[in-house]
Amino acid sequence: MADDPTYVYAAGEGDPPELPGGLTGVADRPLRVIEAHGMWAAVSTVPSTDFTQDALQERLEDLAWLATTARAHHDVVDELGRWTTPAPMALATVYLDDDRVRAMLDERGTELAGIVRRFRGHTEWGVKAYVAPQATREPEPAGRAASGADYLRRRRAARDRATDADSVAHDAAERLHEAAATHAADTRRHRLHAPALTGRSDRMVLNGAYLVPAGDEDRWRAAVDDGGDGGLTVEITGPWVPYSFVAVPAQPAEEGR
Amino acid sequence: MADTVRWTGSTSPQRTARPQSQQSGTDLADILERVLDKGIVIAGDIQVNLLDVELLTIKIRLVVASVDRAKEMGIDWWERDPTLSAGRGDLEDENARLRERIERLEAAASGDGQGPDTAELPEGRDDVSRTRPEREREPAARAERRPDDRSEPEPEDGFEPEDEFEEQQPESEDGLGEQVEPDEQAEPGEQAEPGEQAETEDAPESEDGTDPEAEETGRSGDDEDTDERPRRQRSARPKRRR
Repeated sequence: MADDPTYVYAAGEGDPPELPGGLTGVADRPLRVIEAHGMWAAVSTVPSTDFTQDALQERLEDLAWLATTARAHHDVVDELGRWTTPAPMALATVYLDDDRVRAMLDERGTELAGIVRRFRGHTEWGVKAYVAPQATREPEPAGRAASGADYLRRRRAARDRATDADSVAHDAAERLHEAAATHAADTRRHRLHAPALTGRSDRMVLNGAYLVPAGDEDRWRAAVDDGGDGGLTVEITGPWVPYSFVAVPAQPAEEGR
Repeated sequence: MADTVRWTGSTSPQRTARPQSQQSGTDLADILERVLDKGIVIAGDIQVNLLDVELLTIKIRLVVASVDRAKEMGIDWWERDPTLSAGRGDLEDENARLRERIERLEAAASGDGQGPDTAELPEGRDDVSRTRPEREREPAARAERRPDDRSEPEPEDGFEPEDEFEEQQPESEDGLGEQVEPDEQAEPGEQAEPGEQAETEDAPESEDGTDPEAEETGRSGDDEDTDERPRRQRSARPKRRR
């Protein structure tokens, strides 16, 4: 137990949040808060069996473990987001002990505080849009193919139609993104998930993240609603702690101390 | 507007509830996308490189390999695809017709009017079902390739190596109906598929392949086994302790 490392979920600036008791995180270990240097970190002690470098590397390739741990991590960050403005760590940010966490808070405090200030008063919303394959493939010629060559011709024609539909869907996705960006302080475009990942038969054409100021959620949502034409199926996720906006593309998050 | 935009069921509860209600694979993907890719990356004492592209690939593979995903994507999707399912009946008829034509052509060419092919005719229909397990065997690979099936232009050789056509391949190649061997049949189609997978995963291996010396002299190339690479890269990162 003494050797069990400390897992960090998120850090924040100023007074630590007063969390309700009984919260647990990764591996069902109780959530604690470490304070140091005007910063705080939400942590829990995790079993060293899973969190040595080798074990962790192996564990990360175990889907069940990865999924459970990712959800536990996310749930803690999400809970913190209800009470304060956390700067969310990536999964499996682990230190040997609490002192090492305090050292990190000292070392990276400025950077973390900068992230917290950018996030304060904002939440992240995700917009995913899909285009239904049925819509692109419906106009099939009636009757069955008269020959193999005819069958191949039909298949190719169907594909050509699908290509046209792809560009239509692409334009619709761009319009939706612009609409969603209207009331957002910042935006990110994430990589599109393959159907294998979404488990859907329709194809993802937009996977955006939008940093929306508190109070603007309704306007933002209405804008997304208006922008979602073109036969897209639109899915909104959120509110998220603004994971997607941790990194600042143009300039590093560090500000002068 | 209302008929083209379908707000999915998960939307409204999330407006107020915590995302703990997120249970499905899609939501897991959202969570992984954020907690793995987007959170603050600070070198802890136990350091793994969470931004490694290979790790993300593994992550996706793992998600795909989960039973539900595999079932849904690898086995069922083509049955639900209207294009494919609509074509199936045609395909079987087409298959039988092609066999007959080939037998006639063969008979005419060889002068042997009785070839063994006649007896093989019923098997032509069996082939359709025999090739199914081949599809099911590698659901993950299939599923990953799927976007390419839709978006990548097919080679203009007049015979697309799409899976839907695999039943027809033997006839077009050598005209011997009895050579329908599911294993051989599916493989060429899979490998001939142009797509991301070939670019991202096969590239390092083929580099090794073009340099046989590297293996024989024991010179350890940087990229050999794709499965080994991410781990090596990540563990090569030193722990940062200060």
